[in-house]
Amino acid sequence: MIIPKEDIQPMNSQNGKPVGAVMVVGGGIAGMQASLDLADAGFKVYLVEKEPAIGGHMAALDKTFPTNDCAMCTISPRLVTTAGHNNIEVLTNTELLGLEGEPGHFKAKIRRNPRYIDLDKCTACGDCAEVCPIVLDDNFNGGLNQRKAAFKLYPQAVPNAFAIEKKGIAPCRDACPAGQRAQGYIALIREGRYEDALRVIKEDNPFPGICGRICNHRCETACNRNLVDDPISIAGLKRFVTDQVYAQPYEPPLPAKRKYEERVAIIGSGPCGLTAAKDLVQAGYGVTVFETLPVAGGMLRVGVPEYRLPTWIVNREVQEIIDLGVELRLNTRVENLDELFSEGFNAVLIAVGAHNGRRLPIPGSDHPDVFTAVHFLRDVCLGKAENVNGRHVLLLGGGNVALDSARTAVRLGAKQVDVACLEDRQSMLADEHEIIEAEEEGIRIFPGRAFNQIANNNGRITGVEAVDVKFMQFEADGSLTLETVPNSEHILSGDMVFFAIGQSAGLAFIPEDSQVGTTRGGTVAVNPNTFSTSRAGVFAAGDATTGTAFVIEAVTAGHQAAENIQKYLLGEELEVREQPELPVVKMSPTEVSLRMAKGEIEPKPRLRMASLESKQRLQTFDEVNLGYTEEQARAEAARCLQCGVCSECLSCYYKCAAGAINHDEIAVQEQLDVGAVILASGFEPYDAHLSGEYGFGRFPNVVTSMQFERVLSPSGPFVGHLVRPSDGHEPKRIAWIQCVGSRESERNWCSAVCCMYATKQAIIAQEHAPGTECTIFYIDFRAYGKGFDAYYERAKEEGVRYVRALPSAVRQNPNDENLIIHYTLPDGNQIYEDFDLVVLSVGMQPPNGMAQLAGDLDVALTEDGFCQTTNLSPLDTTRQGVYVCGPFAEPKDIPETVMSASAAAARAMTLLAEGRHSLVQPKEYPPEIDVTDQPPRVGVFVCHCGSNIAGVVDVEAVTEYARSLPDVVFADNNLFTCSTDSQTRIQEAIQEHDLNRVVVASCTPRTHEPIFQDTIRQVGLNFYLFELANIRDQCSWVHRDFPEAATEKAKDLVRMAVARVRLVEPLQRKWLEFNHDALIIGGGLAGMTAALELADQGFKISLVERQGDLGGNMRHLQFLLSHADPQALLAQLIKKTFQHPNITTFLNAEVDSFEGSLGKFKSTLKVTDIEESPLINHGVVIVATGAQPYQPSEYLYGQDERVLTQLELEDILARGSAEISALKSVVMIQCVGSRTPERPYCSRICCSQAVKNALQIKEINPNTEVYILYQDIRTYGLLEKYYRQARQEGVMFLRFEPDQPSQVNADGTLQVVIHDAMLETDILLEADRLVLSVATIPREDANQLAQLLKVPQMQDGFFQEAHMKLAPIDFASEGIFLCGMAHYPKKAVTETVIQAKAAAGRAAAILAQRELEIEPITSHVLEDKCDGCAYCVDPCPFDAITLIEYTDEAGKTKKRVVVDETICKGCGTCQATCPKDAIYVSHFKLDYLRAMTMAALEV
Amino acid sequence: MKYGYYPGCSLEGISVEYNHSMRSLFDALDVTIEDLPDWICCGTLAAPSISRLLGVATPLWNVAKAKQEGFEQVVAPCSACVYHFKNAEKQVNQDSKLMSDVESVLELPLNDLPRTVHPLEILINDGFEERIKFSVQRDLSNLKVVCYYGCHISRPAEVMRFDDPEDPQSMDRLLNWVGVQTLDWASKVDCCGAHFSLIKPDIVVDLCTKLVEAALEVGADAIVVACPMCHANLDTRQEEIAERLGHPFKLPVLYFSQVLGYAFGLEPNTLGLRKHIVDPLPLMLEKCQPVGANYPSLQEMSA
Repeated sequence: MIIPKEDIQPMNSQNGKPVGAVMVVGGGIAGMQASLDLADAGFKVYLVEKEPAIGGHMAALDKTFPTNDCAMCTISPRLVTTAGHNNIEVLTNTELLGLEGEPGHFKAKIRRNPRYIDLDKCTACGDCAEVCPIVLDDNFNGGLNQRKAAFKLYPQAVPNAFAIEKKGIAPCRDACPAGQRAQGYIALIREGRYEDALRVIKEDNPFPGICGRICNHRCETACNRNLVDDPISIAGLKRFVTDQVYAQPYEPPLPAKRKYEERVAIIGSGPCGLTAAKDLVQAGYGVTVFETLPVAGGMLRVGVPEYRLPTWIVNREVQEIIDLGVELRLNTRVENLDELFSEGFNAVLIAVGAHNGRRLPIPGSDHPDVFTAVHFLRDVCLGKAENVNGRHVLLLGGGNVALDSARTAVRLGAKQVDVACLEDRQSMLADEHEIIEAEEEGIRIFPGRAFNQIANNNGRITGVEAVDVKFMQFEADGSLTLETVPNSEHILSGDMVFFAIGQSAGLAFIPEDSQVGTTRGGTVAVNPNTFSTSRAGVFAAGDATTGTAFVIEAVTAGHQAAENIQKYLLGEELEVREQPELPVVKMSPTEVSLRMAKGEIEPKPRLRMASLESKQRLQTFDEVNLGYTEEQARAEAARCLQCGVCSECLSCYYKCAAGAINHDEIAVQEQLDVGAVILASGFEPYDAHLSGEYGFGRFPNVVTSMQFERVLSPSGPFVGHLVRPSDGHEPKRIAWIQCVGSRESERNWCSAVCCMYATKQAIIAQEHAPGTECTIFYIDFRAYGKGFDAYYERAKEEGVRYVRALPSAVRQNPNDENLIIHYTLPDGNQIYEDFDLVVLSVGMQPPNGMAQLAGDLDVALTEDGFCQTTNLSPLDTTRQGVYVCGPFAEPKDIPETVMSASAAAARAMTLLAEGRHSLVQPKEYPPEIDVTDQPPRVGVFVCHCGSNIAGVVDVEAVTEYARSLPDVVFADNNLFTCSTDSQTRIQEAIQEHDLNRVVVASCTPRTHEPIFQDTIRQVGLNFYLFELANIRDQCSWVHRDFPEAATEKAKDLVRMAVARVRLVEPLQRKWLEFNHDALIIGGGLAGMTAALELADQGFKISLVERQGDLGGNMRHLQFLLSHADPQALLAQLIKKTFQHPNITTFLNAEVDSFEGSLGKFKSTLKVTDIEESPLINHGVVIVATGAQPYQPSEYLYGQDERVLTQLELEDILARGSAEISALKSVVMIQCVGSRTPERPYCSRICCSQAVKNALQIKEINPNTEVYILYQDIRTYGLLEKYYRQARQEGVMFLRFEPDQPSQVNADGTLQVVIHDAMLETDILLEADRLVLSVATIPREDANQLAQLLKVPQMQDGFFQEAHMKLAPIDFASEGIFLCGMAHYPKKAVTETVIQAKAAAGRAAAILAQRELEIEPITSHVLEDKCDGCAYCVDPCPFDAITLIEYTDEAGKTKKRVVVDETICKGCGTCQATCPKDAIYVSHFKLDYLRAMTMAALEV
Repeated sequence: MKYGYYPGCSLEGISVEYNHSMRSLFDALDVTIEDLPDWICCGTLAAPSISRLLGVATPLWNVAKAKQEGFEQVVAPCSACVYHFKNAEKQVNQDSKLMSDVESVLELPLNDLPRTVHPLEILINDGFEERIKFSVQRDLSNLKVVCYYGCHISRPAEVMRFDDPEDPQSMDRLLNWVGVQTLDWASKVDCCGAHFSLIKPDIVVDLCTKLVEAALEVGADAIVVACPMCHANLDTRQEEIAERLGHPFKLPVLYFSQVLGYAFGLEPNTLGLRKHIVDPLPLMLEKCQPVGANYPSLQEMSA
């Protein structure tokens, strides 16, 4: 049970005033609407959006039904206004985490996720995306095209800035000790950007050419691609880059700048020493490297044979470090550390490696023909090796050094080379491919041997005495457990024996008294965290401290040692940069198979590198592996799964001229003080992969409706061309399948919008490509909203085919990628029909992640995962002070979303009424530039509007033409002139070129003029110095087929605008004190709800009800589907209304006269039985006059008392069960008076009303047969579950076609004959009661009120709102609002309550302002010209003009007219009537209009 | 793993070639399977149509016995049998009363029963990929087939819990491992109409015609199946189908076990390749080459 939150009064002073701030979660249309209402009403708003831009799903739509307005065009002004509103702080990339405190005084915990691009610095130039090598599916476009990891959500995104997407650290990078950003350089290789790739590698590792060849590449072991097929050949690609770049002549780098006096001595020029040398010299220290050998490079240079690692590579990479300014002293053995310090070095790094080969202590190991392999390799490299030509060489050891030596010996002409080792074949330490290649080269391997002694014959070595190993294992402490096979002694022959069993560091230069300690293992003892030895200033790293390891470890150690030496030299802790804690992106096998199933990953094994044939190898030391060709490398790189998304390759960082990129940005948690929270979290489109039978994800030409919106959209992946994804061909036959992910067993709701959007998509598709055959497969067609049925009928007329069938499967014809839809017709015929494209009308799901967040916020969800609310306040969640709007509460369309947003805003306003205005500041503008005496300097900005204008009009030509017009000093064109960056460009142009008049040639002034006016105002221009040339709505859209003529027309329009703007003068806005009370007409549910919501905020309300009691239609409502008692709710409401101190109720009263304008309306009332007419002054008015039921004459109603309406049935049901129990059969007929030629609209509520009453009957007597005869069952949204429940409880639903109405006769029994449209046969039903679901029709006198208030009605008689999508509560006249059934039939109770509260919210957004800004465009009288003829007085539609008498200077009594500027709307009627040009409307002076006309006529 | 083998009635009758090829295949892969002792019919559609208890008890008797014998998994090559086994298990697991009823009529405990699986599940899930790839002796890379999964390999998904219910891949993958080209086609999970074989053969011919048409359309040399019902329908009705299509054709229908076995170099007789109405041998002889240049060497495959 949810406690209604109606009783929450504005916060009392116990906690002080409530916080005048609201957090709105979700930046879609609902979030924006709620934010704008609240902000206008004087509250601070934090608009929290998890995406990098606001706009939500509506920003992704192409057009909206039923008006076919461009979604972007309608939403774009909202986006800009929201972002520009002084009271709204838009927090993108931000999530709400939790909420503490009480209503009115919450602390909202949020996390601002890193965007990695500074919003203030980003100019949206797109350079970052340009250079970003990471390509991924563009989710905004439904994955139909691709975008970069650096991206802008959509072209018109607000805030207009890029963002970088990161998922985490790729496992390759995580596995690399040096943290090589392999994913980054792989992506750059794929793009062919080898210099960039090398830059990325070298930033972490100075030896790419070397590591590309001999690294043990743990990255490849970690590679997620292992789960698919083979890991990426990361090492091979790294090598490839160096092959490419090093093929160019070597250019030495610029020497590093010396910043510090201090000098560092590095002993040893191996990878560790040189890495440290590079880091330190680049940090600004003097660095000297000491090397005993005549060559630099350490083991890289003298430990790896040429055929694996060519010397020139080592030389080149070493040279590049030396050329940074490192001093290298070759052939220099450091004998004494003290000498280094006395020579002036401030720190020493010992990085001498492990170069001393070990020998086994077995007899004969000191024989002169016994060598160590490591010395052999070194001597070979130095060109002075022992001659092995013709000898039989026996290597003892199974690691890479053994194999390297063996293969070297082969190449040097050894007669036979054998390798024997302790380990068995599988456990040998050498790389597997090395062993295979060695065997191919004729080398024999003898694994599993232990060695007893060197065998000799008379001093000449004959081999080694070996035994077979039964078991061996190295223990944790390094000792060996060995078990040999008894009596297995044998001789492995050979005449030269090389030990290859490991190396130790050569530490001879460290004498006992050097204060540097060593370990028992013969390494330098260091603190592993600081790399410092026991002597201050002496550090050690690399193999000399750890024993033999891999190059990459030496590099890592070098980096770390250098960092610690810096710390030491600076005498302080080096600042540790706070870095993002990104997770390692380890994929699970399930995830991989899912992505494979979706076709995102295709198996494609690793590309093999070419290598030398073994025969060739034996002759030469040429490299065995030949590397990738360019084509191979790029193909191999393309296999990368881009696990981390952004790879931090830093290409964007180096490219961004604005310095906006910051890869070290971290997520920040904050707490914000807010009084209330509004959850506008929207919805998640159903994941169509779950409906596997339709082949989404498998068949490229099966798309979701969201994808299809992007297909149609001019800013979409196909720039508005209607083509199908597989081959880019125009589809001729398109099918829509409805209810995908809706009305299912697991998703037991109707998604409310799909029938209409599918129809809209079909109409638009036909507009795009006339002749396209559109077929919509549906269950029930649910056109239940305002104007929907007419739209549906229009679609049918335009040839959209509707098939009532739920297809069982979609198959793809593999030959042409067409789709075959399998469905069954009512007659049982199975049809297989071919289509070119299939659109799945996916339903709405509760938004992702909301289950978690709702739990954290302590907000209850329904079992379906939508937000739980109450009937009487469908905006209140189960937590006080937290409100909900939009589809998160229930699937709904845009107008209803907007209504609920205004309503939720109203709830927050009520809660926080006392905190209003406490946290907001007025928008500041710079002082206005005085342009009075300046000659006109006009700037013209021509808009592409994506392809809306530029697709037809030659925008460049129009711009060029504008430059030729008089006084035009600047002209430019923009993709979207309304985008924030374009507006900034306009402002810059104004300042740069001293513009004092601005023309924008774009869409329509209706939505966009205020935006551009504000733009110029922000740089000091009066906002009337602006003109908008409408080259879209009135040009490109209407002349689509005549691009050349349209271009000419656009030029004409621009010429006219320029002609006018040259003359216009600045005008000043005025502020007006106004009346803060409201008049509400209608005392039903809507009127009372609106009244209470406003009254609770402190506004005074006059509530006018024509009847003698409050309650309206609700008084007849006996049941609700939710089981709440409507009469109890109503009684409560009436009581509160009467008792509320801020509400004055007038019963038996009607509005008699009405005048005035926003802020100062005056109405008089006619009250029955009272002579006096009360006068009411009010600032706004809300129309809540309701509707009435249709009085049927059909089906014997009124002639037979057994024929009732649903409301009459409800009365019977309410009277008790006896009457109902006696009934055997009740028949209900739907659409009585609705969906007829006279009244072609759907009355929206009758289906659920019939279901409700049917369920009531079944509850009383399950044996009473209930038949509902219907055309379509329209139980939209969450009502669907009741429809199912009715079927489960045995209610029979029989469908009829509108042209075959049922026949009723009453010869004794009441008989209904229905022609069943499914069975195509007549069915006779005996009925004890026939219940008619009658239409809801406008009040018969609605037109009188419409005339009184001067507001429009629709064709069907309901009142017409200002905009069907985005202003469903406003009338076009300011200050007049609409709610309840006067607007359209509404579901009791929720929909009426929502719209009523919304009207209250919209009204409060005005009433809460302290003063009203009034437009200065009004008429003005030229006193000396007016002779008082009064021609203008009567035509004035606003009664703003009065005739007065005055005495002139000469004392004569004269007449003239005066204008009440606060009433005048500036319509110009007076100006047109005046014979003497004595009255004019500012901003529309005749001169201006004349200039335009002349320009149009070019005279 | 100790696999119990449940051949089911079809494999002892109309599809002995499936039985033989299946056993030879496991043999070639060095997998020990042992026949369940005293197995009885799964009950097919007949038992459940008489009573729910009988429909559940018949398959479960087999698994309960298998458990007594210590088998960890039961392999049943007929996908209809597998369905009835898995479904029975699901039913009793969801309904404790049913479980105790079945236990009392069988006089056997039903806890911790061995899983029943289709052989495809073993070959795909139990780590045989390398072994299968290594066992290839004949190059079938010129053979283009469509894999026909029919109704029960993967559906109903909540019962079978194997492979993608709408787009199964297991048989395709298996055949790809031995080098056979599998073609994507529209009908891999459409029904062949087996249940109507006797009562409404017209419907069956209709459905089979659609299947054959779809297979021919994508250029398949043969249809590969994993269910004796599917096989019987597609293999025996080709004359009637040809009449509907209006042109003659011969489209061999093979069990996946036969194709695998053939790739492993097993003899046609061992695999029962001579037992079909539409003789597949000419096709196999035409398409098969000894392992050679076009085929990755074992070493390459192992790398």
